[in-house]
Amino acid sequence: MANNNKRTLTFKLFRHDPDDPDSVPHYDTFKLDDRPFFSIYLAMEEIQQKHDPSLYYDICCRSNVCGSCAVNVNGQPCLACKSQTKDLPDTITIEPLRYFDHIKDVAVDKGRWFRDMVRRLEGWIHTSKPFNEKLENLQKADDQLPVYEAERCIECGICIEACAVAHLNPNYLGSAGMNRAYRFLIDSRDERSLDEFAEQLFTGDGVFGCEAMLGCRNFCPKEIPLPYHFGILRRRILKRVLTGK
Amino acid sequence: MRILKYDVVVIGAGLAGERAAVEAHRNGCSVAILSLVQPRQSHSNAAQGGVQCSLDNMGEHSAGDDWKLHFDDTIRGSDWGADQDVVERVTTAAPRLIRELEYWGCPFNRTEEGKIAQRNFGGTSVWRAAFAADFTGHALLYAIDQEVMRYEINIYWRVQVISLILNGAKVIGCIVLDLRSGDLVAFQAKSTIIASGGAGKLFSESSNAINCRGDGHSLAYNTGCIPLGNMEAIQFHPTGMYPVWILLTEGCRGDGGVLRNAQHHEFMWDYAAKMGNLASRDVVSRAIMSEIRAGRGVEGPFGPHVWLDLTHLGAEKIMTRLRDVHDIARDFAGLDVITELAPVKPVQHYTMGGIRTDIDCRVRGVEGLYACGECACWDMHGFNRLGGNSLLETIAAGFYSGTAASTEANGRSASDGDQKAIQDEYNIQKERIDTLIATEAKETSFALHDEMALLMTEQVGIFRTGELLKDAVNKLLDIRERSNNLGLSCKSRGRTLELEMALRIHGMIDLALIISEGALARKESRGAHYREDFPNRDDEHWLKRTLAHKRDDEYLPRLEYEDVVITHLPPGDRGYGEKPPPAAK
Repeated sequence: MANNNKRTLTFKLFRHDPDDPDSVPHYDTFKLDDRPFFSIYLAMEEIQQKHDPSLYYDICCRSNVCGSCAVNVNGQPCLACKSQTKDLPDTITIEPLRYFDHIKDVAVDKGRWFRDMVRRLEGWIHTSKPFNEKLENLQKADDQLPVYEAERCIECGICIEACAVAHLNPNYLGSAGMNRAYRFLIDSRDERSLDEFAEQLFTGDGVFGCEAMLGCRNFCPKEIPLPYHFGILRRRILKRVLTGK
Repeated sequence: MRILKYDVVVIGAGLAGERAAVEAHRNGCSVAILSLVQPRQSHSNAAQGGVQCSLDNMGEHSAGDDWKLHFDDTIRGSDWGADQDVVERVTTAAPRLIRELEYWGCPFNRTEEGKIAQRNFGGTSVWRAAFAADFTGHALLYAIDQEVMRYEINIYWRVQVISLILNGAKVIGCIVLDLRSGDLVAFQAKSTIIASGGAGKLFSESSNAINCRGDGHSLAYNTGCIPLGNMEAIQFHPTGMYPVWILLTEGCRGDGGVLRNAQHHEFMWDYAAKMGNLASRDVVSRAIMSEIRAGRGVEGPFGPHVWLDLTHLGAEKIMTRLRDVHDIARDFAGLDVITELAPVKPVQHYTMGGIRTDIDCRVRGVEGLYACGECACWDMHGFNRLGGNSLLETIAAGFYSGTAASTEANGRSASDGDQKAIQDEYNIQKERIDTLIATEAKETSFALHDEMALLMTEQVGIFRTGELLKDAVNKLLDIRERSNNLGLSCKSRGRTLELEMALRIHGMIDLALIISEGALARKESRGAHYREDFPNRDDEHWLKRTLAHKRDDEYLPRLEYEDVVITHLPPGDRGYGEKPPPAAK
């Protein structure tokens, strides 16, 4: 388990405070010894706590469940907690996600985008059934599993960052949005029909925006089969549009 | 000064806070939720294995389950430290509250009939934990947050609550630092709910998220009139993955995983003859540490550990029910739990104690303040929480605190002196930040934190002695004294982690002192609190809850004790077939 490779790592961190008129975007360089189980998160923590207290970054769970620490490492979006130095070269460049509202250094705000996305899709259960406290909704295990699979999305924003279409079209719902729509559409407890998603999904901002470059699939830290979910949505919508069924 | 007014302000956007907010909203209140991190990223996400509720959906595996069996398991787990009226309330409400989460869309695993499936867990007599694979906290949090979205409840994120505002004995809101702009904002509320989670980061080896730093505990304690209950009751989870201290759920053992020592012997049966690998967490953690002390641990570059063996479960079971465990082990330790043993060691996991409340989650000592979830001492868990009972507590306490807080808010109007009290508190906090920024750093909050957290792990951990605790208290007093020399090298008010930490470090050291002093005073062993110099439970003298009050003139708290509420189940044997751990050499 021990990694005996004694390397010195060079971290180049993007620095900029957009709220400070005197701040000029630049990179700062820090050198740290590599060690077993060292990660981008641990490196940023060490740099902030021991070398430059002004560094600003986001971290929460440090175990690939909360989605807060997404950054670009050597140009590729990833979670800082999950990204281990043993898999990286000696020089490591850390930059913020470019798609989202930049806060400072490598931190961005993804909350507003995800709130808007959920609001647009009305991402909550729509049902006319009253709550029955004596018995839950019955749902087949085969129906539950795909809902759970889609529900595993942690809203880290990496699929949006990795998507060229999203960078070109700010209204594009992206894989995170398609996955959320799919989650409710296939849930036997949600009574909405496909048509009720039409305004959001049957457009270039929805399923017809995707150009199948598959950045979302390549970088999703939860390995959710996003193109598959996308495909099911697109197939159902095409069938609806072409056959009226 | 900017003042935002709401009927109910909730501090924390995890499960408890959002559940409370939904309830307050449904009772007609205007509600604001304040969160350090953006919505859906709170630490509730990390709860893996399940939520306890006596649905009895599992045929022979859950036969005969009802609230009373759940109640008995919880009290035995708590080592009779829990309040039995609270536990009765929660266990009777549990099926309704969990079915409501299902109704809101939580994708629970299903039985063949399509009902919510349940799995086996530690310290329970039947299969009771409802689960969504091993990502249950995430699934529950998203389900509740969907209701927050449905109702368009206001949520402010990237904000840090730095003090409560009191007008006499009434809490009338809080002072909030906007972590992005650096502005101070006052939130005025008819009732305030603290739902800020645990304080795991007081320990260097903890399964908790970075933001579990006891902020809410400190807010309450710093008022000087609110007691913290049973802070010495700290849970250590047996299976933290070595050496990154990310949790591998108890569901691993619930689904058939076993613990092995260096000789691959399944040692748990030597310590808990009846429950083996599924004894309560305090028992299993002590057993692991006893194996390591006896030289039967596995040596590794970061110290000794034991093995968690899932290799006999098969790929299909692991990939459907323990998928995140599989991914965590692969991503963070580079191993495959389908074919390889996982290295584990007990790590700090949960703070059973917290802000002392009554059965309606009303905080003791003031009016207008409620607490729910891990930050509270309701007290459902006593000295050892059962796995799956924390998720249940967040939902139940969220419901009850939201109900009580909104009822109070609906009957309350502003009082004389509120505006002056808000202005005064605002000025105090502004000056506190100005002073920090004006002072050059002699001590840094991060260095003080590291020193404290290492000390807590080494001396206030699973095996405690009077000698180690006394020494820990003395060292913590020194660290606390030095924390007065704090200053900042980064002079910005917003977008600075240094200021955020500087505003909480004093509170964190105070909490460490409360834990250590409470543990030193409690001369018995009960649940997770184990004193090697007093290895037995002592119901004659210590069937009591510790209450720590802040003193004006010194750092150490004033300790008081109150009786535990016992209604149905008098103190007795816990039923694990536990043998006491061998004494240290």
